[in-house]
Amino acid sequence: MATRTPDAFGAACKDFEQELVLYHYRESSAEDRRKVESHLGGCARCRGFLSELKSLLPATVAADEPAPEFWQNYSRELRIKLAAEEEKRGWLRALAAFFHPWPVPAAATAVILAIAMGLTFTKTHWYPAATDTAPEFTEMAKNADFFQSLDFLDSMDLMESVEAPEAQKSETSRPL
Amino acid sequence: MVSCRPEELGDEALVIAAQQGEREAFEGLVERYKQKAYRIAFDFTRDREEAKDLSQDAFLQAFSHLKSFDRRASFYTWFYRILVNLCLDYRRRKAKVVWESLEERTERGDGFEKLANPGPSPVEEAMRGELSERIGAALATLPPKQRAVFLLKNHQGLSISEIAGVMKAAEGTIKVHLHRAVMALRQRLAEL
Repeated sequence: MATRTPDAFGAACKDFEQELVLYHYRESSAEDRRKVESHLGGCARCRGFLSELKSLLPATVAADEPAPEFWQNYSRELRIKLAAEEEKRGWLRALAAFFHPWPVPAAATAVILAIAMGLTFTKTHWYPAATDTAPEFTEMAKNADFFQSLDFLDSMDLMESVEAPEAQKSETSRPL
Repeated sequence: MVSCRPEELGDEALVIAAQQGEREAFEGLVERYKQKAYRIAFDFTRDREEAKDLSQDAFLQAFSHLKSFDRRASFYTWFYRILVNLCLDYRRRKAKVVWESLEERTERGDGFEKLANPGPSPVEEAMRGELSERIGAALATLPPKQRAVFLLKNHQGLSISEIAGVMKAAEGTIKVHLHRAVMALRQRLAEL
């Protein structure tokens, strides 16, 4: 692998930079480790870079060691939250069971049947009876013969109005 | 109920028991991983209360979705994924708050000096050394994924393959993120 000269003091050879980071974390393959070690033998800058990583990277870890009471509170709080979550899940499960695939259509069918039966058996209560016609129409039905005779008279008038001009015309054309 | 004490059982046995509805088994997993979970969250937040809340939220989410865990990955890989995602969301929210705060201060005409390095509160400042403060500021400037990879490797000691499992990424990608994070951190610390 070709190496380039580092840009400044403290910088590693560009081609080895990533391998040196992985080498520091012991993540190199056996072959890469051999290559790096062989390179380190002849490159002071890469040795400097590696020793810088060794001192810098562990120092970036933030040290926070809470007291034992913190952990007791942590566990207690979380147990309460988990119990609440479990209770919530119990309710949700009960609700889901209610909407389980088969009871829903069964309940819907039962409701539709109940409505249909109710409508059928209570028909007499809500459907208007045949005798419940308005009084003015009943009166008119009783006088149906009279109205039919009125129709006949109407047609007589019509015939007369058609025949009258023709009779007048024949009278005027008669010789004196 | 689990016949043995939870601490005597392996992760998988505890997960199976918890999936069958035994909360005590899940509490065994909490006891096993609470310190690691807290430390990951603390690395992201550098705030004790925020770290506690975030890590507890991760446990609650894991508990809620335990039925969907198919045990193809190990429990801690699956759990760390939940936790790291929560931590990344926290960073995004925090970044938004800082940005909104910057806009408000700009409208008020305040200077940028303090905003460039908001720093911890005076109490925290007293508790932590100057170096820790500088490192925190340098870490905060890393892109979220680089930061997550760096923290999981450098602070938690996870292997590259484990991080790849947690981050659902290729090992090569994780190596590149780690290299870039180390180089950026080194650069930032030199500048500060």
